[in-house]
Amino acid sequence: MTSAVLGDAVLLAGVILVVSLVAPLAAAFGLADGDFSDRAVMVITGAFFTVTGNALPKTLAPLSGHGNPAASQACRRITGWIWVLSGLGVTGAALLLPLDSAEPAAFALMAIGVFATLVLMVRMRRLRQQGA
Amino acid sequence: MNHVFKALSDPTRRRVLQLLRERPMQSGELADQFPVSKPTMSAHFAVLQEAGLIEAEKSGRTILYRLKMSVLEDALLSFAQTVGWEIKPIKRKRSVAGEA
Repeated sequence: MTSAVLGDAVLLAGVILVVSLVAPLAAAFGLADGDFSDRAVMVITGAFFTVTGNALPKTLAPLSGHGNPAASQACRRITGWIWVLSGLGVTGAALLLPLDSAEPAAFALMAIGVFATLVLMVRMRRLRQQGA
Repeated sequence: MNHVFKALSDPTRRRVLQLLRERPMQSGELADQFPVSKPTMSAHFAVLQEAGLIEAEKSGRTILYRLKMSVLEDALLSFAQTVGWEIKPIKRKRSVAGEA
């Protein structure tokens, strides 16, 4: 892992922590309403999914260690797309839908993204075992 | 990002990326798909590598190329391919001495 990647990850984690802490505090002190804090946390979660998913296909493992490099590449690409679309969906839901509908919609989108990733990981593992 | 736009502006380079979407390929195998000389293909590979869109891995005497595109770059490639995006070099007027 390069220092630039590590730096980006630490920065993103810092932003998530700051927003998660500041938004409820702002609501508690009357600087923002409760909806704002909930929406801010959802937006930052969506952004996390989007940024992580976008970078996912760029992370490469050595070719020599893979039984099926084509399948490995395809899995990374598909997983990246799923995460980016889930993240954009969560952000969109947080910004556009009423809060009552936004929270379940965001949760459902994240659950779909994580489930699809798990399915791909299992498939990838099987392909690797077949190739070995 | 300029390097990415430059890399995606050429149809040959876009075709290389599309081939690499299927699986990692050897340089010779890729070059055989195009009616251009090997040095020209090497130049295309260099542009793609400079843009960080592909990565080369040496395997014995051959070089294996594989895709290294983010989702955004992947989407840009599809967009460029759909609209037939092409950046043509700007023609500059030659200034002739004594003309001015």
